[in-house]
Amino acid sequence: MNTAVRYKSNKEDQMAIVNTAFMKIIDSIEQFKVGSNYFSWAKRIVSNTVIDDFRKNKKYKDLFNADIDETADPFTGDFTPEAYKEMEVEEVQQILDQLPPATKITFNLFAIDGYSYKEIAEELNIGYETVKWHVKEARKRLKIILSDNSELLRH
Amino acid sequence: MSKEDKHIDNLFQEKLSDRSFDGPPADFLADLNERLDAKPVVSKGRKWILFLNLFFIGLFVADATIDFSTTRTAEVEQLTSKEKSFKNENAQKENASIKSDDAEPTNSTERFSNTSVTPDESGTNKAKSNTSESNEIEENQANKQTKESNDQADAGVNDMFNYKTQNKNQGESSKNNFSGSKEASNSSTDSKKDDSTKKNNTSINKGDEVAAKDKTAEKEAENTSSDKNNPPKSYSESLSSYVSYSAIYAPQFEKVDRKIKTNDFPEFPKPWNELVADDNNDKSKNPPKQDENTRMFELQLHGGATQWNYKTLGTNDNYVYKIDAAGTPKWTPNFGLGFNVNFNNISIGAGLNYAKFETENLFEFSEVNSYDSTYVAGYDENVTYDTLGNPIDTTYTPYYDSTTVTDTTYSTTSITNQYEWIQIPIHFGYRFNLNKWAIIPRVGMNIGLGIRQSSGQYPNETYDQLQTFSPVKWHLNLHTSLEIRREFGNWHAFGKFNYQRNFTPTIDNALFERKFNGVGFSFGVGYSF
Repeated sequence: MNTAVRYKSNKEDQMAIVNTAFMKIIDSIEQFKVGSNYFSWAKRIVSNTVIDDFRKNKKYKDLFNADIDETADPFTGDFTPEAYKEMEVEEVQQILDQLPPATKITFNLFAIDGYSYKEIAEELNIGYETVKWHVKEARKRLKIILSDNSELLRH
Repeated sequence: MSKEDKHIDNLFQEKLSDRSFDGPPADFLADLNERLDAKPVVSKGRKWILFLNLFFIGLFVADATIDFSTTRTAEVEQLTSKEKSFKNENAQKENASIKSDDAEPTNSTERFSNTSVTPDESGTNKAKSNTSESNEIEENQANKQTKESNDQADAGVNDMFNYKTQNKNQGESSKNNFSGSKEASNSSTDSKKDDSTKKNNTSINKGDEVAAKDKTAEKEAENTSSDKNNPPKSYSESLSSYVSYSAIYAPQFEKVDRKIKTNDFPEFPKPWNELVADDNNDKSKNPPKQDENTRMFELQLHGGATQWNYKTLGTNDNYVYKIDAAGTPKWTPNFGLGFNVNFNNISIGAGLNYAKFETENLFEFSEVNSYDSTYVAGYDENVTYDTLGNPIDTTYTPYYDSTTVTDTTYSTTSITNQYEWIQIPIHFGYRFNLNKWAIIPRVGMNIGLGIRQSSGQYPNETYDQLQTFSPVKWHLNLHTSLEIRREFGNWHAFGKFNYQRNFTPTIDNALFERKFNGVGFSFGVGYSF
């Protein structure tokens, strides 16, 4: 459920992902090796379900290409992580939801689920550099959003 | 990776990776369990499909089991029973003749010696009788030959029966000719009616030589009289075999009949039952004649028209709705050729078709123009005072502000989109025959090869300009058709209604995919061989 919520902001979509993932888990329970970590295995299935769902969109590749702007200015502001340690989980989730879909899924896979650039590129059938760009873009945007939030909090 | 990047990643990982959620409430789980345990209900539609499947399977099995061999067996049984009745009839006549032979020994001479006696020897009446019988045989043979030539194409089991019936009289007359038993019977009947006349006839017609033969025949008749209740077995069997044989093996009849005329009893290699058994065992020698309605192969040419419709799927519902609403499908031509193989009324076929899809589209493009508009935001008030400080004049100076205004202009463009395919249909069907007519429902699939040159233009996603979309190279159709045909010998004319539906989309791109379904008709001609 946690994984589904991270990837999907809409509740119906989250439930759909959870249901599909459950069905996959039930179908392939025989493939689960006893002794291995069940939660990691189930989490991986949910992640794959999210990727499959994302790829159902015929133009998902366009989403990755549309946002790329190499000339975009890098973020130059200060980022002090300690300031956000006390943030609520819901707030962090809301900030993550503000990312464009392609950037969001890439960042989710890389930063939270621990996929490598190469794995993401293979799973999403996109270029290695595109993955890198989206992760970088996600960080940049998140910093901006977090900075804005902190300024608001200060005022 | 910079420290900041790491911090960002860590922040989100810490906050979001181990989030926990409450499970569903207990009543929800209980309801779910109930539903999962509930017995699945077979819908009415499924029941109907099951029933129809069983019905058609039964039909196919029934048809497959009622083939020529079973019909042939029935015919054999009928022939055997007829043979038996004929034997009985023959035996009765033989008995009657033998009885009369006892009374009139001279007639028994005729019975046993007639096969070797020439018409000249048998006297005037007998010669006349033989001649008339020969004429009758010739007439029957002529009739038979005429019938053979007329019914050569349709000669079947029933014809054989007719033929047998027709030749029954012939057989009887032949029997008379061979054995003279009927003559003897007639003679004996005559003699019973008018014994004195019969005696006179005998004496006048046959003369002394015949009378001498009669004496020798008396001895034979005495021997025969001991068996008068049991007519000569081989003789009656051979006779009935001949009748049946001549009925079934019509083409050999002429040869046999020639023997009859020369009063030579034909010798048949085997009795009837063995012949039939051999015939059943070796069908290749006498293969069942194929009905003209079920010839094995067919070639067909056809042409017609199809009204297509379509279903569009895509991620952008608004876009899909707009392009669906913009298009109006048109009737388009279709033509092609087919090759069918028929076996036991089951028709399997393939072919090559040309199909075309055409829509008249009216796309409405919207063009959004943005420009800056300046407007008076307010007025600055300037008051002029005199030396005493009294206001003597007031001037208002406007100050301006600008804003960006968006203006949308709409334009309509008419586009005709055409997509063409070469289709390879593969289908099977079942043929219901009704004399010269036949109804053939078919189901199958079409393998479609999209002609890439025939492409359509649709708006892009932002709906501001046209974009070209080509058909997919290969697609698959499911189709069903109902053919009604009329046979004209080897040729046939037919009309066909058909419905086909895309199993895989015909247009597939990043924006949308489109599946077609079409209802059509076609007319054509075919040749069976």
